[in-house]
Amino acid sequence: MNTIRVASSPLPVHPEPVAADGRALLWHVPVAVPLPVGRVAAAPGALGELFADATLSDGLVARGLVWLWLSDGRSWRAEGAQVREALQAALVEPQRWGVVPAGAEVLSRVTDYVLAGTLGAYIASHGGRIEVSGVTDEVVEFAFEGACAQCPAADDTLHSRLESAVREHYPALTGVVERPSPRALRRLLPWPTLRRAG
Amino acid sequence: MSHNHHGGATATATGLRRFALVGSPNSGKTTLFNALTGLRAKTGNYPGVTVSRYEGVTKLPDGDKAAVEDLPGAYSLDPISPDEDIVAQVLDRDHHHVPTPDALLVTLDATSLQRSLGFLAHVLQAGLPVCVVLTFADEHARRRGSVDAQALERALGVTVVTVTAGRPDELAVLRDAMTRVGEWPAPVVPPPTDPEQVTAWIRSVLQRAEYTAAGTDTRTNRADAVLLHPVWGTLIFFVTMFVFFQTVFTVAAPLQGWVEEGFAWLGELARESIPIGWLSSFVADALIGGVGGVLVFIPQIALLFILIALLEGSGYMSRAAFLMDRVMASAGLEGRAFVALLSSVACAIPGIMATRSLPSAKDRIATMMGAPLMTCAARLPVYVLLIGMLVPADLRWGPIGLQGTIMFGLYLLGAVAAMTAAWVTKRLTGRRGVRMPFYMEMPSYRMPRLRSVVTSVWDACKAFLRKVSTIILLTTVVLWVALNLPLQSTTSMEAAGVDTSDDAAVSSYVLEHSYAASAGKAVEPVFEPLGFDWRVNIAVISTFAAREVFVATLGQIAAASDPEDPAGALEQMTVDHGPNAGQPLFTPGTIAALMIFFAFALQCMSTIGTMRRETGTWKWPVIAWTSYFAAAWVFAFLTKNLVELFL
Repeated sequence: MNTIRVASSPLPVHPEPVAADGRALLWHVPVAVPLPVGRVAAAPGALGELFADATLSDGLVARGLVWLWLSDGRSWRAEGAQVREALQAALVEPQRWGVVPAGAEVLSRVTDYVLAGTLGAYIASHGGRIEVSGVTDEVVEFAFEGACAQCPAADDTLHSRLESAVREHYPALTGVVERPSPRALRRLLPWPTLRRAG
Repeated sequence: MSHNHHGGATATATGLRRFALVGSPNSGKTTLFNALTGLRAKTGNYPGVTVSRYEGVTKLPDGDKAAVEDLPGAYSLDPISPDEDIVAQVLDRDHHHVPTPDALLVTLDATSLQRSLGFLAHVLQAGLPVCVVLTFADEHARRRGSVDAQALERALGVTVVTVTAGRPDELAVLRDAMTRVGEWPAPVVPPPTDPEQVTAWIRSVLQRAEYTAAGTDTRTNRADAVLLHPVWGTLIFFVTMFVFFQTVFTVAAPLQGWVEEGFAWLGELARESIPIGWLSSFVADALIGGVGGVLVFIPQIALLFILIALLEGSGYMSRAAFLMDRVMASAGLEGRAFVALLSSVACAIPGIMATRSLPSAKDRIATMMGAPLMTCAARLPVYVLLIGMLVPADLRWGPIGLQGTIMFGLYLLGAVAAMTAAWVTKRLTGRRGVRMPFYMEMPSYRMPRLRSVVTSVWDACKAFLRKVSTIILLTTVVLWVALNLPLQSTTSMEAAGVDTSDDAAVSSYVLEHSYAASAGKAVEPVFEPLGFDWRVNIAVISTFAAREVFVATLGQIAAASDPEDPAGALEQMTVDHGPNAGQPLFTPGTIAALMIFFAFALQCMSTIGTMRRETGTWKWPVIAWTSYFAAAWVFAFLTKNLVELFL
């Protein structure tokens, strides 16, 4: 993403809804802006003021993704334009953002976002299902279900695609792992079986 | 996705759910409309303005029907033409003049998504439920572009359905979405309206949708390198126009021959089977002869419309408009006026309606004034008859027949007259007003869709048939009555010295003393310098309703003198009183004067009616009628004298 721009033109951002949460919006911002990752503690300019006057109640930041929550009683329809402009102004100075660590929470949301997106659609189109079974500050554990459980490309999917998709938004990711399948551990004799795991 | 239920999104108890198709011109909107509604579309007008309204009905999978309206193409809701104005008004719920639809289907061209999304941002401000229909995805892919429609859907916050022409399964998905209009998602935060913010929003959305722009359309560019070349392009254009006209006449000729024979046979049948004399004459001459004489031209008109539809559908028409822009500019018009004038070659009425695409009101009026002067299909029967009387068919200069050359010359005359009239009108309406920039989109070359061609030709032929069955039929009947009344009794005829056993003599006597004849003789002073006598006058008067009637009227008059051989009777007609009594009526000078008269005079009530509708006032049709009548008279007079000078 090209961040070299004429001084006055606003940065490209757009919002997308967050599942089952009407007060939250996921704002897509240019991925190249070096935002710190974590929960918002301080923000420059108008955005900081929105937090200060309790228009916005919470915010989580990752690379290219900013989750913002409105306080009770506010609506995005009314506040959206103002929030957009404040966000665009604040993105010009990423070094003035202050965050507190919230690694697992952010990583969990980033992973959900990746799985809900194009990659998730691709996996579903092959009859597979991938779910998050564990999240820490630096590692995500995935459970491969459905067609993914026996898929020879599972390793590749896991590492090249999932990992790079998540790392794009969460640079601190150290690795992704697959949850070991419980059935495999219980199998005493390696009979070939047609039954699918999971 | 948030599901907002907007007012009016559910079916009203009394009526159908109403969808409107919105999008820029050339975004595949009308093709989609035709695919959804088939040939069942109705045309009308928006109240108070002269913009065409297309509404149809489509069947949804849940068994219900839904009304679909094809709004005029618009590039933005900041209108610069009456078409765009209507779109802005329809989408505005507060505008009570025009009803607002329940939901919108917005067509976005995948190959020009960056521009179309700007339009979508404005449409989304209207607050109506929106479903985006992504068109030309196949062409986008062909030109090595790509877009993720599902990611686009998430980024926009509205339903996105990909529809490609010729893929009925995709259309089924759209119909399915239309059934669930109550559940259509809407963006939580409406897109911005500030131009810079919109640009930023579009960049963000396209990035999310992994959009890669289509490469330049090498196929179109290579074609345009030749077709838009100042020398080769113009040459090819003239060749295309020449082939266009040649096809119309040579291909249509055998078809016309069949139709003509069919009607002649029908006329004979009527004459023989109907025992009552006057009734058989009425049916044979007035109904079958009159109407049939006009219906004979259906093959030609259909062919004209097919060719125009093909030129339009393939994308060549806009190139033609571009090439002709210079020529049009000499009359103070722009290239799009060429399209309107070219359509007038088939019939002035669609040509006049095509002027709606011109943004400037002055240009519209100037083009509308020029359109009736283009040689329209109705003049053809007259020209064919008159040229046949003037010049023998076998006279040729090498490979070029003289008859064809004269016909071509008349077409050229029509074009020059139209441009002159437009130029004069533009000068007279003054130079006030801002000069509009001339920009025109040239779509990629595509195969015209058969369905669109068929639909437009069918619409045009239907309009022509309607005109025939009303105005022309009425005129022919009125004329027949006027030519055959008052009835003459045998005694009065014998007293006048007419041999009552000779049918020909009886019918000529009746004709000479008919109401029509009185009218024809009354206007003799006007037309005498042109060499017309009362019989030609009757025919000319009848043409002010519709030109096509001329041939039928002359036929009836000629049949009155010689029912067996009307064609021969026509040629041998002599002037019956005055200084030239006894001499042939149809001298070369008179025939030439007649042709020139027809080239200029506005003789079509349908055209006058359309001009009144489109301009909203009687002023312009009246000016056109009077000035063209005067011009027709003057030029016919000059022609007659010039021809007689040299021959």
